[in-house]
Amino acid sequence: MPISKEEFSKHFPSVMQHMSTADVAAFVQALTPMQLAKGETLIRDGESNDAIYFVKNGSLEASIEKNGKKSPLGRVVAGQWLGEVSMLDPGPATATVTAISDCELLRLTRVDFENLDQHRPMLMNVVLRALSKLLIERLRSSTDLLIQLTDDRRHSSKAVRERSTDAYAALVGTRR
Amino acid sequence: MSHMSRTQFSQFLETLPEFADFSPSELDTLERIMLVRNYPDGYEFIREGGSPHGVFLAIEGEIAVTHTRANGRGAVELNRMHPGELFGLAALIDHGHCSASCRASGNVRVAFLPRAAFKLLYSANSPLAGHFLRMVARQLMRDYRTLVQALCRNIFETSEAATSPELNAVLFRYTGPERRRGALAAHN
Repeated sequence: MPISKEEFSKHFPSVMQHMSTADVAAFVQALTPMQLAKGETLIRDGESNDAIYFVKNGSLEASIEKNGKKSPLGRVVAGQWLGEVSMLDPGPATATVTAISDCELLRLTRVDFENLDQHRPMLMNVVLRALSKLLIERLRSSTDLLIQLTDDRRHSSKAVRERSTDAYAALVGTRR
Repeated sequence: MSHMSRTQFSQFLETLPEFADFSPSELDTLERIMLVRNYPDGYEFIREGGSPHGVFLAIEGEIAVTHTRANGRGAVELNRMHPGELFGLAALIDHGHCSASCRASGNVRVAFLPRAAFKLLYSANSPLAGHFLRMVARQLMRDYRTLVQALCRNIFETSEAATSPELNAVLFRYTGPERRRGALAAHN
């Protein structure tokens, strides 16, 4: 069942900021509800992702993996969203995201995103500005942590790894 | 440095990939609202620790991106901006502090889009504002992916990623002055 605009505003108030009532209605209409069972993978690191997901209920874990080594980055919980990087820049996903409980998500595909952009460009300006602001904040948080690496590197590779993982988590927007 | 007519400025914009999506009428609007001026050697466009008042586009000459050493003795040059490059783009989104200074290296010609003009465009729902927002998003994505690659190397390979020039350029775009001083102390 599609989500109402009131319900969406309640769960994701920051997305709705600065949107007109008509814009909220159009935006919510473009979202597709979906379920994800515990243990299912939503996005795989390095593979293409064509949607942004708003987490209505449940929790997911983000992680990265290389040469068989897995590094957890933290959780994405209700009220947060993910996939915005691939939406703004059609490159590979930057983390694997797996459900750690049954989840209810709202999906906005790239096609829907582009349709909105074409038919309601002003609405998309609001969305784009909100996403850019969020990314600037994440880049700032991440670089703050990364700067500390210059000291950590003198100590141990474990400290470098831990600090880098924290910085990566800040970049992806997960909670550790 | 010769005078640049409006048509020449428009033609210059047309050659830049960042402006490829702009229609002729949008480029015409940009000609009218961007302030194109010549600046002498050493002119400071952005001061570290300050908040830029808009976005700049280098047209002729070079802009040096520098920051002061932690011990206060001189500045370190991080990067050079060349004709066609934009700087201060994040100023269109928020009022964050700049952690590097941008100064003219020799005589330069630079176009400036004041934040106030951008806000007017944005409030008026102009498609131009949308194009600029997309430019900001593209730069953010480039920086995001640079960081992702460097962090991956640190997590899995413990390489020298934390001190690579590309990474430094990103770090100093987003880091506040206090953090920057700490980093410079380590670098110097």
